Amino acid sequence: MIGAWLSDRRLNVLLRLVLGVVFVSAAWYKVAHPDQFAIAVRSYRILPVAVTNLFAIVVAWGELVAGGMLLAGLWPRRAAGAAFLLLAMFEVALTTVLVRGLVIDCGCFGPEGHGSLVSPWMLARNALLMVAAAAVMVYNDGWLALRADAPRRASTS
Amino acid sequence: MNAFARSLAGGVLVLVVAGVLGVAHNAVRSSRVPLVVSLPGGASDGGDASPGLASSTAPATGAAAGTDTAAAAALARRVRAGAVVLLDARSPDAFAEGHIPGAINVPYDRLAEYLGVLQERVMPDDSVVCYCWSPSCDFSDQLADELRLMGYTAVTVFEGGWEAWTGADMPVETGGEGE
Repeated sequence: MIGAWLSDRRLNVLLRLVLGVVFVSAAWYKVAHPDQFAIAVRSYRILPVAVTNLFAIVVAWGELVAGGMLLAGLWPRRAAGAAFLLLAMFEVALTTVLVRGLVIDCGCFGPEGHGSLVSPWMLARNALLMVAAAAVMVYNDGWLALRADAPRRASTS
Repeated sequence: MNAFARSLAGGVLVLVVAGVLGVAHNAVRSSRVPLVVSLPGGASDGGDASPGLASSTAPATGAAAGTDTAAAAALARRVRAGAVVLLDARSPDAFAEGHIPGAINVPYDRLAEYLGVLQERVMPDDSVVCYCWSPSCDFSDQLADELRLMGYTAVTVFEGGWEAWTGADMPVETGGEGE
């Protein structure tokens, strides 16, 4: 039932584009200011300080490349796979923050102000994005994509 | 291999390529960041160390009440002389309830959000003193470490924090940036 709904090619393209917009907009500030994103990474207190700059650069560019590929329709399943991996990592990080009771800025879209403190709502939003990414990973048939991963489904029109 | 696993494997490849691109971009940009972060060793006291003011790399001493009072008095003198910039690493609510007069609120756990305030009001060569609640509160140490990474050269920590300041009957200021 849900599978049939998520596999609808129009909805699937919409999910791909939404994910693309979210990832590119999330990456924009981080790519331009990796030093500031690294501060947000350090505030999670998960990684050794030594690797936080490198991690910030890789994540920011991972978001930018995955988002750009999703928007352009370049190998959308693989791009969604990259997005899913990043989202899964964020889900784990956000969960540990909530479990440890830290009150920190999410750093998801750059320094956004008070509305971006890590919260259960943020965890739910991230989980929804994971579902969207999984739908693109499994069901995207390359419709309206510049370069499909899988053979395009025969047109019925 | 099913579609999900294939996409996931492809996703790993995408992230590897993106990471290489990111590192390459960082190497050619003018404001590149070091790939490996190293905290400045022998953190600076800025030449104005006082009792109870320590770098975050110094061992915690669990200062006794007398030391706390002396440290608070020394800090008060430096504040009055305008020789230091005080940063309160506690939450905006705690800051609003009471803080050391003249302190700027830069909550460590929301540092990314307060970078603008920091950069606007604190110069890299200012003599900066961070504090939070008490010696057991590590936000001031972490804020000091982050400031050093950002290039602030004279950063110390008032170890006794708010407890030592109020315990020494020093003046306090209320209001400010609470929520």
